[in-house]
Amino acid sequence: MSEPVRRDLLKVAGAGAFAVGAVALTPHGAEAAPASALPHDAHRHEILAHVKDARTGRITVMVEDYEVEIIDRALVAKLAHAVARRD
Amino acid sequence: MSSHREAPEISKDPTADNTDVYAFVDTQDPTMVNLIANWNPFEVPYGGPNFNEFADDVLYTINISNRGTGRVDISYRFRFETRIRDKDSFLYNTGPINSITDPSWNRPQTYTVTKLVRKADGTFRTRVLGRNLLVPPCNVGERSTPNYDATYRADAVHSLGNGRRVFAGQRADAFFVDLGSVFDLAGLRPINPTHVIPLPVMEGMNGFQGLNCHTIALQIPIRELSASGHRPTDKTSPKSVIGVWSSTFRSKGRLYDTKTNKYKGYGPLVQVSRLANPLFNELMIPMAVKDRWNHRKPKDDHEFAKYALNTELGEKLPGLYPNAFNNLDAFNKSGKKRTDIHAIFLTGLRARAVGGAFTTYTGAKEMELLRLNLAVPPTTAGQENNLGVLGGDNAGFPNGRRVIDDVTTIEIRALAGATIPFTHPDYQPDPILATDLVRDGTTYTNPPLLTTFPFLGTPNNGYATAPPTPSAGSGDPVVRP
Repeated sequence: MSEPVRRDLLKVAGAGAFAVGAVALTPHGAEAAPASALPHDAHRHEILAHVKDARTGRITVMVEDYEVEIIDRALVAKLAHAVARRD
Repeated sequence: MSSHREAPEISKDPTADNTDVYAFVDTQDPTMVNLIANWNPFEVPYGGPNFNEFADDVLYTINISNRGTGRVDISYRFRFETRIRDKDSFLYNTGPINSITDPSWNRPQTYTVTKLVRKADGTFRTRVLGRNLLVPPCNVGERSTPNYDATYRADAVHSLGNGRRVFAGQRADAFFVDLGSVFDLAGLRPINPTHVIPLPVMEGMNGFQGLNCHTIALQIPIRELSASGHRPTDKTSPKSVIGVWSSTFRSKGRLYDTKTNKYKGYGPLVQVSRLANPLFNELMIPMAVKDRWNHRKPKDDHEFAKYALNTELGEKLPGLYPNAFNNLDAFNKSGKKRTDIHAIFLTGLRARAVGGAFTTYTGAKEMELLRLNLAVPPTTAGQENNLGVLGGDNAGFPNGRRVIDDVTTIEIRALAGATIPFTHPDYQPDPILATDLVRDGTTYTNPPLLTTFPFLGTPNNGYATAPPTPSAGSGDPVVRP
């Protein structure tokens, strides 16, 4: 049975790109690639990102049958602003 | 009602909703165990144009714990794939379906069976036992699916090697209970006059009459399921006992894809339903906790033990049936716990509780499992007592569960105090329990059960099954012009 995979990638630099690999178990604290450099197979997978509480900066990223968790307050802020209501 | 729509969230997700689990040693070949799990509650036979089926985006599992830990030691996993042959047709079948492979069946379904075995290091060894196995069509009607079992059943039972067999498809729901009365303030029609809101005596009405379900059935050698790898012989040893349960998983994330008009799953699988003993979540877990119970694993069931030690229905029965359960009332007021219910469902029964004949005890760890003692031989076919252990038949529920066992009556009587002597030998059950009155008043009324695999009866036929009868005397009268 696949167990939920959680990995705190801690703070990701710059625009908040994150690394998602075909194998979920990568070492803790792996550095993220710059936002402009996508993984070579990124186009093959749809990615679902979930922010449960914007205050924590945590993003649960789901792809295929696993998930990883990152903390990226800048990215969360961007997402929150994108969906902020326009009165 | 064994576990049909038993929790708020799963009641909205029928294809993932476990309804029944059965586990019993085969009467014809006592070296084999039958494991049966059902889904899709209240499946109406005439449910066209999209008849019920297993869901492609659900993982269905039947699980075994054989080391007393409540963890999965062995798991049989099922994934289904459905296709549409003629995308320009709205029909489920474009002509009579004369065989399981007939191209006139427009929506065939196949499945893969995978077996997982826990290794010593805690990881799992995985092996695919069967691919592209055929599911039979739903029993649509006389024209579409003529001579149903003769046409499809043999081809729908597949060998998985090593003596194993598997079936997956529609069958008649084997559960029986007077749903309408039991959930009308715990009404038991045979003792209606003694209810605090009395009604006339009458026999019960089986709420599952005419309904189907979707079944996965396995027949597995005992040696494959026991921790020792051998067929146990000691009926009083906990090592002879396995715990069985079924669970269902969906992807954690789901999005509606507006291009394919389907939901797509993302992320890891999460458990959304589970079932071991009949009626546990149904009758004992509070409504506010039922969905949580469905998500938790048996190894974590200590959290729910309090609901077995203090059963809401057991505490309410004396008030619902004044003067019928005075001994139970006194027991409840004494503050003593229902350690009998706790044992039946969460730890298993020690041998001394059942006169030393056998045990289903797997240890002190509280785990809601359907426990089956593999060393207890099956009762000869035709000589079973459908009240199981309460009726003196040690091969019946709660030692496993056979398809014929009347688990509703067994559990009503248990909650009413019939099993308190298992753990409080000095307790005297109320005299009414010595009669045959404490029951819901139903029997099995669907197509005849089979004496061979897969045991559940031919599915109710959509053409031949009459719709339910409207109830009389309820609601405002209709004013017709």
